[in-house]
Amino acid sequence: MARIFYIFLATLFANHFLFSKSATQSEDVRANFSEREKAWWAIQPIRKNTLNFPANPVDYFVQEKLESKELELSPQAGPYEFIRRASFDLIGLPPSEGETKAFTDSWKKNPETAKKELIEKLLASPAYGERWATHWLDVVRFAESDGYRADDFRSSAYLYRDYVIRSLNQDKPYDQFVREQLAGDEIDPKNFDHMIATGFLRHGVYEWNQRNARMQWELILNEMTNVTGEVFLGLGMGCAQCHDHKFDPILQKDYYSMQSFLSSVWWPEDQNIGKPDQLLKLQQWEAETFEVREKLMELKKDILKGNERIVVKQFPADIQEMYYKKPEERTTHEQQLVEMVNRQVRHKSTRIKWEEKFKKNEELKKKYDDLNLELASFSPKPSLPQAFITTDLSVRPARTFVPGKKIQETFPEFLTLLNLPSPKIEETKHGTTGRRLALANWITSPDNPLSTRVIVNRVWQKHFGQGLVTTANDFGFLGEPPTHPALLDFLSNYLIQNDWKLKSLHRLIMLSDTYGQTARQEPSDKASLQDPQNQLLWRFPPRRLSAEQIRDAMLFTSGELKTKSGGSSVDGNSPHRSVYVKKRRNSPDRILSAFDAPAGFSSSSERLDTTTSTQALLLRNNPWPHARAQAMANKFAKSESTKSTISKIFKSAYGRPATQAEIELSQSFLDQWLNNQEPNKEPQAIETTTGKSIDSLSLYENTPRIYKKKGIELGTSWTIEAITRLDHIHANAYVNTLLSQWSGSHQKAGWTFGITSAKSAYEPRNFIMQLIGENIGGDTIYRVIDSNLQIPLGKTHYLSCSVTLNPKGDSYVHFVWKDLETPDSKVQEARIKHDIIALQSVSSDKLFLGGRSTGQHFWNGNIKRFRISSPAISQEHSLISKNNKAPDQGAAKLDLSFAKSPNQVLQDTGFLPRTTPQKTSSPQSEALAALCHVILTSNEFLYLH
Amino acid sequence: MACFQIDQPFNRRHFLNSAGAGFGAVALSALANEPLLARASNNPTLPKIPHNWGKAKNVIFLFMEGGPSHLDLFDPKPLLNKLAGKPLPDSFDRPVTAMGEVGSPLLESKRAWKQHGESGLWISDWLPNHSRIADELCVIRSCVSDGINHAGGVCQMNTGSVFGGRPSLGSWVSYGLGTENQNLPGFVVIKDTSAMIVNGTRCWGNGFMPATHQGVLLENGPEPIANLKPRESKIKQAEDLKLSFLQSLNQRHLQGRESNSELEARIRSYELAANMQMHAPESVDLEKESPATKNLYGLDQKETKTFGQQCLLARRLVERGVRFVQLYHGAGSKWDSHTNMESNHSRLCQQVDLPIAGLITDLKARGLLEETLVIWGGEFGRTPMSEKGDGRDHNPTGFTMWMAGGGVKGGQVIGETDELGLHAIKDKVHVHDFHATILGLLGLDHTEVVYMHKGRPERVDLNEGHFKRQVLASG
Repeated sequence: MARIFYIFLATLFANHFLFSKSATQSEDVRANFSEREKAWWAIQPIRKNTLNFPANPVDYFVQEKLESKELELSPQAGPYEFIRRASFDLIGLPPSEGETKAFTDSWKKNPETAKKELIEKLLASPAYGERWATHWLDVVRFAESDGYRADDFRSSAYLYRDYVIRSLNQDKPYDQFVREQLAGDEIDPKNFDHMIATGFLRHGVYEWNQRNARMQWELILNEMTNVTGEVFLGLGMGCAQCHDHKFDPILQKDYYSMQSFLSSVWWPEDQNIGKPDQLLKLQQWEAETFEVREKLMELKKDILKGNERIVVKQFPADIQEMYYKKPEERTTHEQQLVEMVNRQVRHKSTRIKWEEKFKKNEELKKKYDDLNLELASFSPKPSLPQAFITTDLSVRPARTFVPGKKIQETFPEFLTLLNLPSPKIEETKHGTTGRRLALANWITSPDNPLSTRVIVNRVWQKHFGQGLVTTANDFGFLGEPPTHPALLDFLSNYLIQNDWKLKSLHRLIMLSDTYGQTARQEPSDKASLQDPQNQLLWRFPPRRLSAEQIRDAMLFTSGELKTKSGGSSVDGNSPHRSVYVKKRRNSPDRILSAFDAPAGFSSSSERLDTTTSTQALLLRNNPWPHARAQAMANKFAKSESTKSTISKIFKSAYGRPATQAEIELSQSFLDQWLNNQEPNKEPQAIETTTGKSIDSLSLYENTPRIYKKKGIELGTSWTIEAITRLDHIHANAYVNTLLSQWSGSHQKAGWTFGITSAKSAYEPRNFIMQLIGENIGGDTIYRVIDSNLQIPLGKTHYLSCSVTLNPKGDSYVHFVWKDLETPDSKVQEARIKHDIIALQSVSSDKLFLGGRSTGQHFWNGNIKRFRISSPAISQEHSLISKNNKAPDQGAAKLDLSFAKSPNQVLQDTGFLPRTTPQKTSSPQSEALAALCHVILTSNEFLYLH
Repeated sequence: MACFQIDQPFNRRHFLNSAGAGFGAVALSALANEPLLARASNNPTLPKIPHNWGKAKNVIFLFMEGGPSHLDLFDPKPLLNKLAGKPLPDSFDRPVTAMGEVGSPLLESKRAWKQHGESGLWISDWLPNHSRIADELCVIRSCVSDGINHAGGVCQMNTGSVFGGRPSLGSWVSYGLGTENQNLPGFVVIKDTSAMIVNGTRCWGNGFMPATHQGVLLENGPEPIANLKPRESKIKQAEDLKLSFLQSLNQRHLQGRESNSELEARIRSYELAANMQMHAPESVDLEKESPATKNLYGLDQKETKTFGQQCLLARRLVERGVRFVQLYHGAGSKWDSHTNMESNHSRLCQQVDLPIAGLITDLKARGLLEETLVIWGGEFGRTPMSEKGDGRDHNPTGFTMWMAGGGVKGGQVIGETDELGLHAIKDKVHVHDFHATILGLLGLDHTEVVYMHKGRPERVDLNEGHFKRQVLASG
């Protein structure tokens, strides 16, 4: 106790002294550094390895330190402990029962060989990249949204995440990995990975409507500078932004010299990304449609000009002046500021509702419609994601100045303290300044004392929970010095000798006795006294699982985890690994953020391990862990005896056999649970018709949703028709859904047939179809296809939509609507194009009537008849035409009329009412789910200890 | 060198191991939102911190989201009405504004102004009930922020920085003071509608601090705190059965691992969660209040009911030891009146006027005002220049916030803006100063409530704020 408070007091005093406002700001560059500063450990050359090691060198260095304190390593861990640790460590998942068995068998023959083989197997698994990417993504503050009010989603940022996973799995040399991220565009702009890597410089926050363009650009450059210093060099440079660093020998000038390497960049918005043939197709489309689009542009020109004026006017006068200068007269910095304005001009122009703009002028409107029709006659525009990349604006660098009373220009230089020659910078043949390449080359030079130590330390930190330097992002005087400096240097050399390959480090470290020792060792008196923090590693440090490990382990143990190799991010409710879960800065996933996943605002080098009652509430009561427990119970319920079920559950969750006592404890829990059952209440009778109208089926949100277990396979074209009435719409943006076959995930194929509500982004009462399927690039996309037909409430209508999917990209939906209550009402139609070309199989999804599988989007009204036909039918065969028989007998997949006894119809056709989201399960299954839930939330599951 | 390093809860095991003994108690404090170092009760260093300025224990922050107009509420400007319709005179510095309205004509204030209370505080006719509490208010007319947009403004008012990523004010308070009630979170947030606050949940986020210090959003309905409601079950005492099975597994697991205090902390966290499940619903149950109290807050009137409920809830929560209650009015930037300010502000002012007066009156009557600091304001004020004819643009360069209770001297005005209310010109109070002052009123020296992050000592005010002594009653 005393030691801590002593430190605290000393700190208070030191802070008071050092942070006092009167501290003078040095105006002139400090020429002299003190001896202490020159002796800063982190900038000393890395000592070469001169020793010959009898065994694993890691153990040599660790034991040396331990012996100096008369401590020693703990005994080696047993096979169960080892495989669980190694597996979570390298791939972020627990071992399966089979893997554990194979490993323990092999261990019996030879533990060393068993370990070696296990580590090779784990390193070769694609899951390795998924696990270790998380570490890198934390450090580079990766997120997929802007982080301000609008928090716009960055729909192609995921390509960078996939790049990181891919690079790690390939064991790409770290020096190359760094060069690609800092200067991929300067090295090889034709290389997909090189370009995607430059997203590193773009992951910071961005405010779409900030009119103080100068300030925002400054913030952006400072953020880039800070993150670059922290990630690659372990330098917390932020302090030097406004003054010479008060603790580290980093001058304010050094900060801006570093910035000048980066400051000529821009974030292009007009570059698409795709495979060569996709890009070629886009080019072809652009060439073919050039004339039509030019004509359209001519038509839109004046409105766009007006739009531009409105936006530009909102910026300060000097920025406006820059904007209206001739481009060739602008400096690079001015061009950057103009690009900031341009981005807002473009943003606003995408919001223009052209139909409304042309509504008043019939001549223009006609021209506009004709041109659009003409454009539509070409093949649809290939939709390719926009590249989320960074490159220089031109070969002319943007000038960089050190702010202050005397404004000085500064140029690319390394830290003054290092006393290195100025970098040689040559503009590249790719139209860039070459400055970032020079920085990247310096960072990845084997002589750079900081960068190898920094990455080696990060790898160590992730294996042991704590780095050899505990402040992994700050190797400066405010950080901690290394606990094992010689080991740090040894590993740095080792990395370079092994071609900068991180997997070589994993092998070396994980095969050491230091890594192999047990965590189940209580501190001896000596250890408590000499090294209470276990910095010298007298045992393997116990750890809580990280947010991603918890979520992934639950999905893995319940048997639900689905593999996914890259692609767009998914919702947290999907059964994919957490590295693929959408990372929005302002609305993070609840489970991941509760367990300390960072929000992505700044480089985050270490994970916190908090223990909060919020976590406890979430684990106890949130539906997500309960659903995993239920799935797990279902998975294990088939065993022959309760005892064997229990032992399987323990093996799968804890990676070890259950003890007799644990089996008895679990058995008695199950017994108590079943004994405490209240007398069964009969499920309430389902009344789906109101008394008055028996010619139709009533559907309201307070009546149970109705579903058919097995959905319908729809193929490439189909028609859904209904005779129905909608009484009222939701006050929010829920879709009044009449029929659906969709899990609710934007990554899963499906469809819904419905009408929009009051707050819909597509106008209320709009007849729509939601379609989730594949686009031409093979990605699963979500589309709302709106007919723009506004359906009146309280009347019976005929609604139909025919979907035609064309693999060549000419897909459309044909909507038809007729008011059946108003005599002589006309048939209204709309044909809407879309870019979904295929619908994956959805037949396993339930077909819902009057809502969706996820609830909420209820239909409030009734239905008299519906028919689903596949392939699509033409109008002459529709339900309301005289000849309303489908042309092909096989076409009508489902045809239900509720004119008489609707309930009977439902029963006969295999529809069931659904009262609660859960399946009605047996008491035994519920008891087992409760048991699984307890296991999944217990300490042994959540900790590696 | 090492003396700049504070062993802080981010590495709890360090602390626990080096502290050596009694980890059960520490595990408890780790859960109870109590920081391990700078807490008031048994932190031996705290008495040695030289300045114990204030005696407040709790804060209620009334956040008018979107930016209320100081020019029409607390800061009368006769010149504005004289020059209405003309452009901003050249003698005024031109700020960068969100919608570029620097050149637009000045917009008159249509308010009637009167001095109120013994102190003679100026309050406009949009807040008639405030006349009753005028002598409690310390009106700061010279507030300054760096955020010209809502995102940056709201972020800075909550976290000190226009950028995301830092802990919010409530987190700093929770970190500095700890909590008094383990059955409730230490930092609670309540919004008036289901609309989201600008920047979402990170307005009450813990930034780089441990999650123990994050704000908890209180929601309407049967589940005021997320995941509070246990799952329905046909089994009698299902929850108890599971908890006792869980804890017996955890206890077995703990054997031979006692040195890992996190394990025991998590065992305790389940018990605390169970307590919270039991006690939280009662603390938010307004039916326990008398009709007179309800009416005092305007619960009997349609217009004032919602915010009145929020204010009354806030009182119940601080009574039960919640440290920091933040009430959002106009969630989703409703105070943002770029057009048609008359109807926007008259409606919103009506919604808050009576409940705020009720809250101050009630706190005072119960003797809670002395220890409860009430703060009012938005992320910025509004410009004297008009926008779209009848609205005002954002103004972070000079605007009004007020404080009451918590040892603050009421009935006074601090600072002033220029003659048009555009720029603060005297006794500027930057958001950093504002935060430093709030900590000071809670008895915490802002320079010494330090959290080490990535090797840097972090403070609530980014090392830039000053405690504004003028707010104190004791001078």
